[in-house]
Amino acid sequence: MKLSKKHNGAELTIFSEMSALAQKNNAVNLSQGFPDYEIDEKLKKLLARATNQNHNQYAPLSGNPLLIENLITFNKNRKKSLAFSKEEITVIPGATYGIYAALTTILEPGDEVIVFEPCYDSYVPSIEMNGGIPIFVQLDENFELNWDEFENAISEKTRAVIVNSPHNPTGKIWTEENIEKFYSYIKDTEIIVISDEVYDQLVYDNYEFYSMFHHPELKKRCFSIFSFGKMFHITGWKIGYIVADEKLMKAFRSVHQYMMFCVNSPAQFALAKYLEIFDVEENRKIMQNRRDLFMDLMKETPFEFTDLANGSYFQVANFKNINDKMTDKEFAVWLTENYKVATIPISAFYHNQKNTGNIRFCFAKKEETIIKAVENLRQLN
Amino acid sequence: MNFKKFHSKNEVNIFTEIGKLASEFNAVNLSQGSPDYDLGDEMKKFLMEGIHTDLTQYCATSILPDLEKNLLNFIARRPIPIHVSNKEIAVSIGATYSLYVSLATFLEAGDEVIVLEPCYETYEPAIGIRNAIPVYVPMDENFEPNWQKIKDSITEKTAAIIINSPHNPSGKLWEEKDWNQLWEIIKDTKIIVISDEVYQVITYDGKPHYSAFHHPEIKERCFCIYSFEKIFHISGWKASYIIANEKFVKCFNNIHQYLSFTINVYAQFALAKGLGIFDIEKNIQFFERKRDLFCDLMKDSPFQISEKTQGGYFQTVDFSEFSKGISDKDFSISLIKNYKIASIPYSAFYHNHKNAGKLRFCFAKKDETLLLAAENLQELLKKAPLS
Repeated sequence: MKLSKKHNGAELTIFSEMSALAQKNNAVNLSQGFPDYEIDEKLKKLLARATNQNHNQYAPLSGNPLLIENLITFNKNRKKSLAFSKEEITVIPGATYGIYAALTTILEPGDEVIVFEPCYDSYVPSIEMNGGIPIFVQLDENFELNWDEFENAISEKTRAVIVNSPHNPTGKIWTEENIEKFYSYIKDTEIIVISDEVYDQLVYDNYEFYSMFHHPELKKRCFSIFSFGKMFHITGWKIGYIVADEKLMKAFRSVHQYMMFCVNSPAQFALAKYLEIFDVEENRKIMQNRRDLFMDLMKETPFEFTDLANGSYFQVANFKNINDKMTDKEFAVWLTENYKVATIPISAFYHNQKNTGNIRFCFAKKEETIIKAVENLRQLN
Repeated sequence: MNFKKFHSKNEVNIFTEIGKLASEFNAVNLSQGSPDYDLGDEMKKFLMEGIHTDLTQYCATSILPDLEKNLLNFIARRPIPIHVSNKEIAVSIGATYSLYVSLATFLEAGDEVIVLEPCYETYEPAIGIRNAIPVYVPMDENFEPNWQKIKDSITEKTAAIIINSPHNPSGKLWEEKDWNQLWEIIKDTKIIVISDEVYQVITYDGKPHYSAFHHPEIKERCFCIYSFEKIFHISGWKASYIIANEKFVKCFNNIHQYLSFTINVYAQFALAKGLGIFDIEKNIQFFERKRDLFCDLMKDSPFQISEKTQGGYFQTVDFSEFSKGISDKDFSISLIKNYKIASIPYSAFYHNHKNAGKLRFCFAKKDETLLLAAENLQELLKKAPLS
């Protein structure tokens, strides 16, 4: 009896590893992408109401009907309207699950899936567990896509491409032009796009969020995956939603209903109600302010920044000024142990753990947490 | 652009189909295994306490420390205790998911998995999604395992067998001797046992539940799958756990962490508190009373009950004496449309949808719901048999 290794991911994700190290060293934890501030009191009240009103039994396969309805309205009312029907959306137990189940829906053993690196660490294990083969394309120094390399990566076996905007860890955003160009490379293929769009609500400055589902052609062959965890800062709720055209969604549900069936019902009810009062702009501004505070304070440290995060919870920083001998993993551990700030090394977002000289900070934290972290980092001077 | 069909099941599962029909015809719904009564003030209170506790730091961990502690404690005070360490349990988002992830830890394409029929309907798709092959072995008439048939179905490719006790839909319990028998058959193989024990401590008439994990040898190669939902009547919370040896749990978590990572943190908080005060005996009495009430009510119905259920939420009834020549699916649909009672036809638990002349009723409902169902059935008696 042997349990074979089903994927090449680490036995313990880097996020668990760094959070544990942070705890052990009593360090300020800017590693994992979860907020340390309390959630909106109103959302708490709605969850209490949900359980009190007995929304405690199975929800329908596609999701709580009110939540579906409100999501359709919410998406229609986006600055750049996103329209879909109730046959094109399913509530899922978190985006990580959504990405996995979308891959399960489409992959046959031996299929290739193109992944742009650096990328979130669940993509590759999810591909491998579904019998697929990840094909890596490295983003360039500035985390831009090299289109020629992308073109070269496409083969007859390519079944899917995973894209992610706003991007984790870099905070980069795909523009409408990017998406159009992307389409031109795959339009003569049957490649399906798995689009991780969990930070859709968190775009800063003058950037705008474009979903793959906005594109008139790509929408026929993409899964766009969204997260309430990131949207409402409730990562512990483990709920998201997935949008795809009816044919794809039917295939997805056929897998999902036997792999999971349905999602936490009191939470679905609370989310449905909260969507009715959620202030998108206010939420965006609060997070932008956190980023600005972080960046402002970080000026007093030796870290260097090539680019400001355009979206997401994260800011990438270069530490070569501080130490050019250590790998980024060594640096992250050293920083946690000696300067009591935990981060994520960018090498964790590469399958070969390539050393990058960069680390990722999560700024989705209380003001005092950010201030305390930078105070510690100032000791580096 | 084509999609592989991973399984032979309908696109809409039977529970969804019957549930829809039930609400369309405003029928008393005894089909799906989800309670229609309040979950009790205690659990509500605990969930609300969780909501008002700052749990943000635990959003990142896979199991809340209090839940781990109280779960180990609960497992140790089962009627027949199981002693495990924190490395031998994992918490996850529902039993359906846990079963899938357990299979995913070891199944290779082309492997065979033995499934005893009738069975719960997610087994086959979970096997199919892993590109493995379900091998069906029918149970005996009274839902006992047929050892010879199980033996005969084992090949070199057999990687696992799925066992379910208390059994859905029949409620049958596996006794200690059944596990011993199974061990005799599989001991010289590498077969892994997937033991669906979601109804775990809900067993009746003083019969205890024997887990696969109680067996000194099988415990080294089984995944036991449990559900918090069934004991706390919270089908919608999607919270469950598994027990397995340390190596298996490690492999389970290694997939789970990339597939969903962790489970709803407030639910974990409430479950920890709930387990702390959970009274196994009281919980059994609660359901046993409902089972007895339902069986009593059925005495005045056209249905035969050959045996009261031994565990779980369901009672099997036989209608074949009353209405001959009609399939159980047609009969159940007719019951919904004409007599406003929804149940699940037994054929739904067979891969070939064979007609068994039986229906499954869920009695985990309010008393008034059960009474109303019985009242509606009275009408049926007055009419000519359905055909």
